[in-house]
Amino acid sequence: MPFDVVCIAVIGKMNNPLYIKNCSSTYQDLKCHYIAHTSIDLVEERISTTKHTDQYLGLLYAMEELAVFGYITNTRVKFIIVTSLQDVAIKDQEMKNLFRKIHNSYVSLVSNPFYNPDSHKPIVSANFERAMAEVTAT
Amino acid sequence: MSQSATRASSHGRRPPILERNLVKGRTNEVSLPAFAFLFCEMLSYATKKSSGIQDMEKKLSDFGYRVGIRFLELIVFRDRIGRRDTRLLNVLSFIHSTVWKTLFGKPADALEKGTDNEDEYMISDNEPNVTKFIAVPKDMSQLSCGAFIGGIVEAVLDGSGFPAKVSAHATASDQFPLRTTILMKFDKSVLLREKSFEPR
Repeated sequence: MPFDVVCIAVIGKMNNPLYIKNCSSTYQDLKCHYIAHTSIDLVEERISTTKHTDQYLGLLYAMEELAVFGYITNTRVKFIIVTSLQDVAIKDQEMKNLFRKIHNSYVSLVSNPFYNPDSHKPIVSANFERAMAEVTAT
Repeated sequence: MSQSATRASSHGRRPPILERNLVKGRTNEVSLPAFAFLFCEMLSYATKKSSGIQDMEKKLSDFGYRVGIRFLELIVFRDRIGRRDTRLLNVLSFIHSTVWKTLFGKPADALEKGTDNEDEYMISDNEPNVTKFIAVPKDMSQLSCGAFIGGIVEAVLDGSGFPAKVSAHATASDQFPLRTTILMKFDKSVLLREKSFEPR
């Protein structure tokens, strides 16, 4: 795997945080929250300026050593992946695969009749967390 | 949720288990009688718990709403990967073909624009599967069990960012006594947004 996933964030349609996972040991949790928060603005900007009808938003921005990628679903739920920058450019297809896996586990979560997607509470589901751990492990 | 002609599951004439396809495939079919039972129970639950026709329609529409939000996520993930609908006509044709085909096995029969108001659209179905086996008593003739389908449509529209008021009406015609029409009245914000997209 040429790059390391630093953190994954799932943000709900009212821009409320649903799930933020810090997968690296070098960055603090707070930094992951900050990054997820700033990426909300960028996502909103991307979808409002053009008639952008894709779900994959590509590279949102790059900081010192981190690159942030975004993805939005039809129901305005946003997935953010932060990776550490490497010399090799990260292919779109790989990111799309990762996002598809996250989307897959999100759909399984929503299909649960006891989960209320309109509530603003964070996600507490063992299956979802397991799936996220798998995404970052590969 | 379509009744397959080749797999008559209720008659036990399915191909023997060793000859069946390993992969279930995209068309995960549920037998219509099973769903009809479930819908019957839902209706009797709604009748018991509600005090009038309006209330009952609202309850059915709530049921449909809960199905719809989950259904939208699932169908977008499976069939429309990588695309979001931002235009009204696109989302309407999405409902008219894909949603109906996935839910009921056939596309909806008609998609019309309301003549009185700019913001009204109607989708009609000549013989909805869910209400095929429901007979409404005379004293409840205002009731339309298509409220369940209306709830699903409302959730799909709401989730995609086109808030609307949806209601279902029974518009029986001679040929199709079970014909149901779903009327969608969109919010002003949706129309404003559509207008802002026009000149480009």
